[in-house]
Amino acid sequence: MKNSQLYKGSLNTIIMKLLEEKGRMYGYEITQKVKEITLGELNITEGALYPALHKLEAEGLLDVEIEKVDNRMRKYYKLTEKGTTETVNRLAELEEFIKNMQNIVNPKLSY
Amino acid sequence: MAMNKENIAFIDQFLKRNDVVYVDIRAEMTDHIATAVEERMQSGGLDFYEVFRNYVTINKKELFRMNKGIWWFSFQEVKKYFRVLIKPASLLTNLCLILFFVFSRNQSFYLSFKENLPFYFLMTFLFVSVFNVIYFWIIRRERYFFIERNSIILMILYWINLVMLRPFVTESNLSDSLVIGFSCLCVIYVFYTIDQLKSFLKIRIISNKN
Repeated sequence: MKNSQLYKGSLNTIIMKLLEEKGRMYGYEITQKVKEITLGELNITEGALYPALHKLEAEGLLDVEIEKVDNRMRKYYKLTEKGTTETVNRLAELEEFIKNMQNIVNPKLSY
Repeated sequence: MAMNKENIAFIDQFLKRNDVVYVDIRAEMTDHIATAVEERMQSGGLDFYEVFRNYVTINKKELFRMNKGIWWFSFQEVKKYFRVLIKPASLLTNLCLILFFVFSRNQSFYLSFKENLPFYFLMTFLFVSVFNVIYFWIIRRERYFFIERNSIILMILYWINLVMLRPFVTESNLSDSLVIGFSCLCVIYVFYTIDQLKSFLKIRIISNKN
């Protein structure tokens, strides 16, 4: 992941937002989707992604489905009911944060 | 270009040799590496071993971060354990247990039962631990992080029992509230373990169907 605390703090919200849009995704798919959306600017590493996914799963925000794909097991993640509600809250929080940061960094834009 | 079984087994063996001991963690890492390697094989037209070697050389440090430091999130298990407390079945069982203790306090069998209870708990904890080791480590020769991560709860209960209920001390005059409280914690553990096993079996059934 890009070496920035700003991105690190938003990793869970990024994952949840993607799962909200796509329904269910597996780890590698998430890394590639983020890379694609940000045109290669944001690269989520395996070492950051999987612990975050496991944590969200343990918190009951994500559910897991396992399927056999091309001779191997693939673990898909999807939002639980609680996760869907939490995504809405976290996105609202993130939007508020972005708005506030914009006002601080570039006050002229707020007029 | 999809991986064949030998390629997948090669990745799995590579991870095993690099101390990725848990089957569930290894399966997820195998899929991640295999998908990345497949993508590179398709775009570069190279053979599996060459692409795999290049991929692992570049990404080894990040890949193995998936396997290191996974124990910190076992503390999430503690939260999960206490969430079981508010489930109706767990609440009802604990309520029945409390009523049983309250109404049998003056019965003759209660005192000897109370006296031996810490020892029964100790035996149960040891039985569960030994069963896990024999079944998963020795018989199946497969370790699952999904199963082992809940051992933190067992360890906490084991130490509470050893330090506060003192199973090896006779005539310890345990207070009723301590015995009732700890019994309730053990009931929650039973429900929590059933939940874990249900999820584990669900995953195994889905895997076997495919």
